[in-house]
Amino acid sequence: MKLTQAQIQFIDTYLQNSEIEFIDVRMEMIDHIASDIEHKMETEHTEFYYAFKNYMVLHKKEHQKANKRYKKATDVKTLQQLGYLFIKPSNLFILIGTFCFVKILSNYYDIGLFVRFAPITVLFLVCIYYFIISYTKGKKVRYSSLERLGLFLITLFQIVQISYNPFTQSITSNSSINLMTGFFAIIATTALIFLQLILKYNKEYTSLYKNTIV
Amino acid sequence: MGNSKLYKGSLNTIILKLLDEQGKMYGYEITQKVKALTKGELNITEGALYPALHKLEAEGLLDVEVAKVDNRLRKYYRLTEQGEKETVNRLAELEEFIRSMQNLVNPDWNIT
Repeated sequence: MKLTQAQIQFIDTYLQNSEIEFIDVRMEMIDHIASDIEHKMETEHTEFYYAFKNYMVLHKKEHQKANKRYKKATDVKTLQQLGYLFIKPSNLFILIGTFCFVKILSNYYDIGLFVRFAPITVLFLVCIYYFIISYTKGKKVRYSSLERLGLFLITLFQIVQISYNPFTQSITSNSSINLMTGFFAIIATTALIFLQLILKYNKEYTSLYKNTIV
Repeated sequence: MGNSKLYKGSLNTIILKLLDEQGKMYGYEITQKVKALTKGELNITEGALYPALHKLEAEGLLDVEVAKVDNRLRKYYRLTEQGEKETVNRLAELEEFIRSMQNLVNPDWNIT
């Protein structure tokens, strides 16, 4: 006895309300719960609602525990993906190209303010783009890998900000523009990789989710 | 999991062994297979199984394939080439562990 789309959606909504917010985590749990309920409905001849209620009484905490532990494995996987994409020739070309372009510009213009505020602008635009893709085209789904990647981006940005601290400026001031240009190039390339991953995950999950659960 | 502390350290090896034998499996299928093979003695919980699967995937030992099945998405796991080699190593380690425990606990037992 297979569950209907409405019943699968019921399970999905319940998990979302149980703070299992990421689609890539929830997807696997939905399948596990649905498989167990289908088995119970067949063997014990019970209705969906009672099978679901009995399952959750016994297993809800386990799923919430798995949800918390998932983040550790996600961080490793996300960093690996970031690493592989960073050394991709096209992204390396963008990194070096961005650095060279900004360095050449610094010979003709005062770009101090630009390299100081451009990273936060880039990050802000990436977040807006993620929001647009996830909440409109992506039908309000959130991906654990992307949100953890956002954490790394912000951490990188904060490291860059340390160099603007008056206590560290005496150390960095001599090579300040080169350092700032380098950091800007890294953040711009990381943001581009983030965009590539947004499109990849959105394509992977949203197209598969079409006509299943949304 | 009954006697969970005794089984805890072996979970990854159990998962690798099953995938080596069966090829491609999904999470629920793994729990049911283990339950059947141990005649209900070992029940792997979701809180133990999925973190273990994701960790093995992050280590590069497992590959993942997502398929649309019965109104939902299902994630199948299978061993990578590195996973196949690692399975052999971990099974050898587990076998050695069982022999050592046998000698420690009761040399007169014959587990093999």
